[in-house]
Amino acid sequence: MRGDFDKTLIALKTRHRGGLWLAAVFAAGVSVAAVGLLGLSGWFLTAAATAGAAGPLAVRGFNYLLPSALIRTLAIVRTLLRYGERLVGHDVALRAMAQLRPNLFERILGLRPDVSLGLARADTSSRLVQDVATLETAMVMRSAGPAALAGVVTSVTLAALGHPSSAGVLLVFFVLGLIGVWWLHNSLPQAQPETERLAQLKQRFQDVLDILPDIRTSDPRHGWLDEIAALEDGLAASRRNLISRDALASAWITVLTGLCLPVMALFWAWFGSDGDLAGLALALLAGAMGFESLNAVVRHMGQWHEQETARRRLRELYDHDHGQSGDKDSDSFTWKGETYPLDGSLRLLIAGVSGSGKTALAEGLLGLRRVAGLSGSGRSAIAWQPQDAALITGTLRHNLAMAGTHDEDALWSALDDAGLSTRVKALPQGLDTWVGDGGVTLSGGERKRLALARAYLRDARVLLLDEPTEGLDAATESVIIERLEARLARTGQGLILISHRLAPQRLANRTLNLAMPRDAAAALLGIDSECM
Amino acid sequence: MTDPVAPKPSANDIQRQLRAWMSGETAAMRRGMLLALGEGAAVIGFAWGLSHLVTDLWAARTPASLAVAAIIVAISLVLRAGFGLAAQRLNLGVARAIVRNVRLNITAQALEGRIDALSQRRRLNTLFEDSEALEGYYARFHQAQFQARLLPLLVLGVIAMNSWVCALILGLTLVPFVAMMAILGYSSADESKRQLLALSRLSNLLLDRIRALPLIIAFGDGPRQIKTVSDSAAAVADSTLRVLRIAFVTSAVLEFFSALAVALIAVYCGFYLLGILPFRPVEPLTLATAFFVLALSPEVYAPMRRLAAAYHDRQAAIAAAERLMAIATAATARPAPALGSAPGLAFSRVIINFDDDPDHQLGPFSFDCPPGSITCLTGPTGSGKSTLLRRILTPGGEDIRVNGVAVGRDHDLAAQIAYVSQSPPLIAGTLADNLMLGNRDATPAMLQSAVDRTGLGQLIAARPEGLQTILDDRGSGLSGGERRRIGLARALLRPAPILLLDEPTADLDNDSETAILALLPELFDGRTVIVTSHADRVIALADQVVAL
Repeated sequence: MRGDFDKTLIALKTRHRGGLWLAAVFAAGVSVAAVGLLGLSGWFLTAAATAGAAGPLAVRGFNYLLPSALIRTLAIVRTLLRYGERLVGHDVALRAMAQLRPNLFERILGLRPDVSLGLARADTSSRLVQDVATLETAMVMRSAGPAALAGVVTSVTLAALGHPSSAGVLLVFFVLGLIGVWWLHNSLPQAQPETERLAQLKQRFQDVLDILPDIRTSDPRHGWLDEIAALEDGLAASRRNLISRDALASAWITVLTGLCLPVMALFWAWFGSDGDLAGLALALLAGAMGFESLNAVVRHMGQWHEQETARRRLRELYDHDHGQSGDKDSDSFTWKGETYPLDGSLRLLIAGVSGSGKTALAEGLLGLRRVAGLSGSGRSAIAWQPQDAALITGTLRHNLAMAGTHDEDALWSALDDAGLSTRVKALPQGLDTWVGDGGVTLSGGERKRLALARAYLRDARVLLLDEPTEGLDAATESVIIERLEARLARTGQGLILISHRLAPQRLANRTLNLAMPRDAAAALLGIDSECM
Repeated sequence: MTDPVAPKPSANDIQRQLRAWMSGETAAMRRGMLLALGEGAAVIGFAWGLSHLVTDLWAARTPASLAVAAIIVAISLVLRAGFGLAAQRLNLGVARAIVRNVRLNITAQALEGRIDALSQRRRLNTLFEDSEALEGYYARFHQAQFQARLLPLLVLGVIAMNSWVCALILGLTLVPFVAMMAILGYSSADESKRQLLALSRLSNLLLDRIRALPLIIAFGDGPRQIKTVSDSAAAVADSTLRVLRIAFVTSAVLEFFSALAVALIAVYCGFYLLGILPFRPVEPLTLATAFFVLALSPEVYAPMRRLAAAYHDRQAAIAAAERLMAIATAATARPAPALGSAPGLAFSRVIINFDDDPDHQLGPFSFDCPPGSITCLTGPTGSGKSTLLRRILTPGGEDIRVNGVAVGRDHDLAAQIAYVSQSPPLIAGTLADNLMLGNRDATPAMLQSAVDRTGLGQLIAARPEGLQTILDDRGSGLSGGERRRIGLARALLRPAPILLLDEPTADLDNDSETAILALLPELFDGRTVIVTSHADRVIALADQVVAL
């Protein structure tokens, strides 16, 4: 049965059917013209020499205008068709794959959060970049088949015009060639696909980047380097394997050409020596070009394993168990028998020692994970400030825009309430300052406040603030709490607060106490088993 | 660009760099060139054999007359196949070795702290896209360039010995051919740069957005982010197409001239043999030579067509080299001699700059930390506490001295520092792997003791696999406090005379804070400590407080 991914690929191919057909027709045309050009040239030369040697009468009877015009025409046609084939083929493949990438990303977003959040970052990104590029190449190569077929048919036909024995020999050698290539690819040892190795390597490298600079002071940093070097060697081995089978296959075709042409001449000398020598010249040159037209399809066969792997990796991602979590947003949530409304009336403090699962509960409320003991979640009702103050790489404006589209005034008022407007105003590029990877200007506390401003901008009934003032000095903290209080009064939003600090706790009128230490061990195990 | 960039290299610098990367592989490169020459010779042999297959039959139509030509055809094509196979493998080996070395070199520099992983992150993220672009240059372009310089002249020489008119025709069509290539080559350099940039943007975007998935889901921002990915993917397709279009036009022009030359030669030879040339024949020509010349003439262009096909490998490599050279690196720093006991640190007029915000400057900060002392840095958020700690880790500069010697240059202290950042990072692996980051030689007993003392015992008791529990790099299932404890346990395991702690008690409740505070004196024992904190109870542990 076909999975969704295969259906999507087929749909993409159907959408670009016209271009794919055109590329195939052009590619076939190139082969016909190339085989024709060389065959005709050889025939023309030999026939001219024969006529020239036979005397003036033969020369006068020799029609040289038509072949020489045909030779020039074929030369031009071949050039134009090749250009057309490449352009159309790549255009179609690139556009199709440019549609596949956001499509895959959409699928990831549609996964159950406990699945999507468990995806390895660099590996997933490799799938969307590298593996899609491999499929792109596969799509470009689709015209290799028609090109080879056209080359074979044209060369055998021309050879038959020269002498039937030539056509027979050529056909036998073509079959031998394809059988040999097929055998080569099936019997040669297969290395681990390159695409997998590269993904592993990237993942490991990202791991290293993630723990820099902490790992600077870490002992095993040379161990990391050794590990990455070993992965590099593996990648080189895969690549060598791929190129070797490729080169072997095309060497095989070349060797066959070297054997086929003399055999054609020998057969002609045996069976057709009373015939026209020009016919042999035609067959020889057309045959040589016919073998040449096999090269693309041979390479395509060599890439098959790699392409299959890319397809498999993308299929895994695309056809991941797509079962919806079934969690519909609810108007309230229940924890240990107690129900809390998700609306403006809520002023809740989630308390508990560290490790008691406060952040986990917050993520549970957002439907990002399953939490034992919690029922009900309300992603759309909640504006979240995550504890780690996660940002996306982009400008400050991009980050704020995650909470929806707002005018300048609203942005500044949110920044103001988060206590960050002065700092942002002082930035030379203001709201267009780059943050995230490559943007290091923001301190931990500033990131916190940016995340707070973003939560303020989201149109939601309840604010969920996870340690909003941690790491802030007392003066900044009191300003922010004051403005938060005023903001709540103004917007009528509810509040769920997680904080160890005393100052913000006064905003709450209700407390949810998480189980003392980790008796919550059970809670955590509960999470794990339900994720499975 | 907002992050620090190494000075923009000139075209010459880039060429020099591309040559420098190759320098370890010259012997193999030379062997590759010999193989290329062998391939050229085999091609000439094939053309000779092919023409004699026909013309020997012209002389005598018996199979025996074919013997020599048949053997030459077979041998030359077998040799060609062999040389081609060997050359491809050899060149690939060279290219992979270069790509590997470039990457490992950069990884090593990052691990040595010579590349600032924070400010250079975007460049480092696309290290693989950039370095892979070098493969084509060393595996294909370099060889093609060598062949294109030599083989056309070689083949042309052989043709001239048989028919100088044909050599002249080929020579004349070669001129526009070379001119075209030069023009198109230059115009595609910028497009290649744009293409690689678009690809690196896409790659960076995906890495970042997959990391930010929880945020995107929680904010219901999917449609906007899908649009961003879609735009970025379309930009890659567009810029790639622009590069390819130029490459295809180049190839088409070359092919046109090549086909034109073959057609002209076929017509000239044919008319000559018919005896109907419109001018008086200026050279003797037999069917054998005519056929030989015709079969050989495409080979004059073939190396140049291969060069044209590989030309975008060159442009991509130049763009990639420029990007790789833009990764700002500090000079090599040799590890400092072992300090033995807790050293004295001196900060004199340390100024913190931000590359993307030159007006924003913190400092100057000046203070001394006597050997074995505990210094607490306090100050409002954004005052540079964390950045100052990281400065000690990064070699370079004269303004921070350890026992009177400047940190950096020949004095990399990293191996002697234990550093716990605000959010200790985790690697995908077991909990034990994560703890061992602090000390590879830690014994199970040491691990257990560190676990017990940092209060990680409860966490481990809750998991059936204990220390072998697998963590993912997001640290799913760990609270902020638990991460912090893992960081502290690493520092505990690490016998380093300097300890840097960034906000050790942030995110912790009162009880946990008390537990950590009880641990700190043991952690501080025998080390020179710098800790940042707002917490009064941490400040109380310090010998001196520096307000930033």
